Amino acid sequence: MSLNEGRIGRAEAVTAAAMSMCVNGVFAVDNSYAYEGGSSAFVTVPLSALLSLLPVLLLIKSMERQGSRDLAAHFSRMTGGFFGAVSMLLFSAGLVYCAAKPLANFAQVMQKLVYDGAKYTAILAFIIPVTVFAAWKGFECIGRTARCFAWLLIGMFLVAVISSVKGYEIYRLCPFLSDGAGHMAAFTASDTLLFLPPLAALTIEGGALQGHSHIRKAACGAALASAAITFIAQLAVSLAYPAAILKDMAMPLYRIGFLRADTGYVMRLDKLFIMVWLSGAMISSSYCIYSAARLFSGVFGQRDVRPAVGAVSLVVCGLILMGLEGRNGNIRTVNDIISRYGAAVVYAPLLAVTLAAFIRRPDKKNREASA
Amino acid sequence: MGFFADKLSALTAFDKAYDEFELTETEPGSPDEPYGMRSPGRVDAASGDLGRVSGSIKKNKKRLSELFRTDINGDVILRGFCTGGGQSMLIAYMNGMADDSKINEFILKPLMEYEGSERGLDGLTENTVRISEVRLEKDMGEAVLAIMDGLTVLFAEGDGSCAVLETHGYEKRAVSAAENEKVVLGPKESFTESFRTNVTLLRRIIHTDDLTVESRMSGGRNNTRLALIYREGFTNEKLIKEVRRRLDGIDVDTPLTSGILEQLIEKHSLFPVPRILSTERPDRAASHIMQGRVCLIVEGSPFALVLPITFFSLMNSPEDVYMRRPLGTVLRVVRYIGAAVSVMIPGYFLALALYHQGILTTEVLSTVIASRKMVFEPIGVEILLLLIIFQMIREAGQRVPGSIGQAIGIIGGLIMGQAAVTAHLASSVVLIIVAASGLGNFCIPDYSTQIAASWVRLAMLLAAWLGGLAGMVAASLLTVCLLADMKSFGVPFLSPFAPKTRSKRPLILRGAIGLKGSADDYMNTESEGRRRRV
Amino acid sequence: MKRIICFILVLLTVSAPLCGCLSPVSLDVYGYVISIGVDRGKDKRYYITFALQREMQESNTQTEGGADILACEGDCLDEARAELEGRVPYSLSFSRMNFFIFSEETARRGDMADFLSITFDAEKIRTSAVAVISKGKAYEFIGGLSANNDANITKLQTAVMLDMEKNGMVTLMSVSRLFEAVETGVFDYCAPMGRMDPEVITDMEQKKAQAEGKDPLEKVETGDTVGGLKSDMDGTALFSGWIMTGELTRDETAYLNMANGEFKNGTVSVPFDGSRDEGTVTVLLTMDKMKRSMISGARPSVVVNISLKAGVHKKPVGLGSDEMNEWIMTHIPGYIEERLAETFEKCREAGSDAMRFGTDAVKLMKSRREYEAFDKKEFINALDVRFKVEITNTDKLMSGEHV
Repeated sequence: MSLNEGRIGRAEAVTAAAMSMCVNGVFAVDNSYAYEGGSSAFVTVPLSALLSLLPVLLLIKSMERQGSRDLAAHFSRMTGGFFGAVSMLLFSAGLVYCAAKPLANFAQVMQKLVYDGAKYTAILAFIIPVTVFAAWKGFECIGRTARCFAWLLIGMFLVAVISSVKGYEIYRLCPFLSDGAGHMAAFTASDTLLFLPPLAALTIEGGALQGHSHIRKAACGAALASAAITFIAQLAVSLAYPAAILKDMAMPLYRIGFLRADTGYVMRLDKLFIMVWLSGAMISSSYCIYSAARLFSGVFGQRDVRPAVGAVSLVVCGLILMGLEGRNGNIRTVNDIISRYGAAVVYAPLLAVTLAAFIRRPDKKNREASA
Repeated sequence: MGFFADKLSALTAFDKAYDEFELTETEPGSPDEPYGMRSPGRVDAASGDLGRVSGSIKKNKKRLSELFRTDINGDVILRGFCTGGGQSMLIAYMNGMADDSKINEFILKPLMEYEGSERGLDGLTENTVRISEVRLEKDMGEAVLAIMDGLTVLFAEGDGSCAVLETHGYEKRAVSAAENEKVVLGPKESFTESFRTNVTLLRRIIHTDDLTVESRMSGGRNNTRLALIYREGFTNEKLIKEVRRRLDGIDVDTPLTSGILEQLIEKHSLFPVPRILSTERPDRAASHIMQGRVCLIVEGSPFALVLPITFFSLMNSPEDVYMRRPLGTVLRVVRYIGAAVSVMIPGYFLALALYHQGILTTEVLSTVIASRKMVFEPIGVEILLLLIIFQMIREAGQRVPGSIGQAIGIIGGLIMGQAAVTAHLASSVVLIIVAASGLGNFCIPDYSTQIAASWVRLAMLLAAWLGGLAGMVAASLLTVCLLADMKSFGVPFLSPFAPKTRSKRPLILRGAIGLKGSADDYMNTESEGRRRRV
Repeated sequence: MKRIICFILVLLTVSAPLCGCLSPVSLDVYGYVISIGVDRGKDKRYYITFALQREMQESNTQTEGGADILACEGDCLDEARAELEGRVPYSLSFSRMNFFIFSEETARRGDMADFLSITFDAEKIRTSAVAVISKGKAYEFIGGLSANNDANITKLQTAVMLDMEKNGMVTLMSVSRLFEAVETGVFDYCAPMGRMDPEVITDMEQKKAQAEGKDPLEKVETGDTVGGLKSDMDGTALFSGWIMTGELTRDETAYLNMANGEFKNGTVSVPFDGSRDEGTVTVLLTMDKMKRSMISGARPSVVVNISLKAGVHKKPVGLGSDEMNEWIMTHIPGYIEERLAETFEKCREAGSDAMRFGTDAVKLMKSRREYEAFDKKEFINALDVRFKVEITNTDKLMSGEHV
């Protein structure tokens, strides 16, 4: 047992993974791509969440077949030392992206809309240390913290969505699914970059989850919960603003309360909502950072995760700063490329290891040991 | 600086063996328990250093005189006498600790009048000495401990053992009402400084035959008597072993009280939130013992320590159970709201005032601006100052006895507050916020938790001052992370909410009395384990 | 060496939050702008008026007016702001902005597009603010709203708008709807229209006269309005894109709201032309439901079904309830249908899709191409609209008789 990995119940695992997927699906979606052709994000985004469940279920099945306790062991055994490390790095890149993107978006929105005159780095000085601290403390801490914040996040989310219900109009969805099947399929596939890494990260914590059946149930629970929540969020946003405006809007869920001329107290709580959602983004990033570090430690046989957590945190910090300072120009182009084609980078190692596991003979000895 | 260096080294000691005691995370099929740390041997003043009791009265008397320095220490009485049959005997006791009348009436008198042929102490204590509790000891160290404890030790010429006779007679406080944990409905008794009385109070409530009172001496030179109280066969054995192990590791010279013991056996005692419940109510301690927890009673302390505990144990009051369910529920909800208001409101208001004015309603905004017109200090300083003054009034009220203490509260609250507003030292809105926060703090039943909540409130205030709502979110997340990571003797502090356990018992709302199984499942009681293994 | 490293680490940890301070500004340093008035300027493009929320006065203080008014000229909002902040001991905060008030002149010239091209995010203005058009000068309208020494100017202005909306005489649409209308080209924005009547004798003026020992109604003539504010709402301004192209009266606004399904309740007075004495029947109408069925094609058509509940507030003397009910059922629906049609025609003449039929057309579109090819003006000109009104007499229902 690694230091501070401990035991993690299914409720905590589902909450941590679902929170990460929901945060990505609501706050990290590339709106310029999502709303390019019309308002179909309320279909494509939850579909992405569900679609990412399939490779994860296959992966779990392959781990069960070979008796691999967790993903790190599976990488090492199926693809060998060198290719295992390469696979790990590719998959970790996906996790690092999922850790950096929502925080970068939040920091930008807070700098522009909430804190007048504050610097990006000043805002990050509050966000990053706590995120890293939670990752440093381990999966027990992350899972339990996620469980503590889950109901608050859901409550605030529902209040924001329901209080704006009078401003929703069906015509904003029309022409219905006008993007075209091609665009919708392409976006759904590329958007799995935001869902697949946090969901597959459950296999990294395989030991803590105590068995493949638990991992499977946790993955299904997380995928279904995140699909439901992202559906509600994207539908609310699509009913609130037309695609032409959403395309250029940062964090539309934050502005959902600006629709109506009502000046009731609840309609003014948008800043409070965004701060509560920020806590979800921080927990999500901790989860991704820890998972990447755990995978790294597992593949390279490090007993203690914490040095890897520190290293991954530095990489994430760097990405966030780059993303913030370079919203125009080359960084934006790189950002667009990653959001459109980055999913392939994450799928490749998972598919490789899954295929290898199914091609090879099942390892009965390991399977009994890990049962 | 060396202290920080050590702490930092501990924090960054990567790849060290995991040595946390785990109670919850030891389900069947789990990894081996990480008992890494070996405990140092118990330093026992009575472990063979002083040798055995001699058969010679003279030698024993000389030995005791040297040990207790009777030439300068007049407390210890060494009285030699002869029985009616001519046998030399010696009694040793501590003046003021032992009951003189018991010694005279039931030890000296019958022995002096005894003219029989019995020479051994076992025979004499059986038939002649009229004391209810008697035990024979061969170890001089045990005899010394007994004398210091208020017992009388009887030596006989030619017998290589001594008789320890129960003659406690020191002055002690009567059982009175609890001062810090008042309830409206429910028993009013509280623990006292007497070890025997405290154990008796618990036995009056718990009538199960598995209740075990394991008496032992604390480590170090002082050797304070303490007791481990638990239910044999119900309380998790590993928990009991772990408590014993931590007690064995104590080696201090200071007189042990419950507060000092709490800090010695707790890990990470720097964190403000307590991990051991300190209660002065026997009914509360008994309730926890029945649920499979361990209780520690220390001689000379009117508080019992209960472990392991969770956050929800600290927030629950015994009164919740003494009322009907809806009433108990209302009390609990109000308590949690009060605690939340206490911790969050000053920081939240400061964040809105400095960074997010758009959230405030127009009425509040205008009122605050108008009330702060002539106040000279910035709003953050104003709130901080008022919080400090509130704490000062609270402390002053506690230290000053009786009606004067109550008057200070009223004077401080009403008159000073009004004067501060009139003198433009504070604004009325901020005063109300600080007062509400203070009242909310008093809703927390546990005193240590109240102080911890004050710390957290201060942290929230500073975070709000520096970063507005983002700062508060960061501080809240940090606090919850620390709480989620905390364990109390192997039990996660936020159980049974995080981690979610099988318990069906509601957390904030009052559950029904007589829910199946009296123990929370995170206690991993022996009967629970038997049930699962079957 | 260990100690030095520890000291450096502790120093860094402690200093990190300090450098993270996020530029706090105490709430009493700001002046909170509630409304912005925009008129044509003399030397610069605009004459901009700011109405600021005052702090709550002490109960024994008597002052005129409930808001602080600042005004100056500028080519844009930022310029005026910079000019005024140099003259007052506080900064202007727009986080509580509720209303943009444009004079009719600026609205008809299309200056709204230029003025509202500010970055709302940068100015921290919520797009839930409402754009109001003022007949006459915007600054006069703002001045007229802040009378009667009401300290809570936000509540006052909002209450005025909401009361009018409740009675169906005003359409409240936020600036975000304006941007949507202009960006998508699917429908047109309509703004509440206000006016300022300098002849109104306010409560404060009456109190002043009383305090001087005079008759508060000394200067009143027949026809004058007594009490309340000098400014009020007077209908709706119609837009085509950014430009104001027409206006509707209060009553026409009620029919506009009915057609949009946003009518709550309001009264309608219809002349009674039966055999009895002449008079009017006043009926309180409450919206029940509104349904639109559109048929697309070369000549698109739409049927608007409106269900209303009616309660009689005034009827000719001596008229029985059965007779009244029969009269209501035969006359009121037709009357309302005629008024609806007239209102639509007025909108059509102004080139405005204030009834938002474009949003129904969009629902029938199958592809993005169709959506992008949509021409709102052509659509409105070609549209054939039929209104069908159903009335339920709630008085009859209350009496238990079958309607």
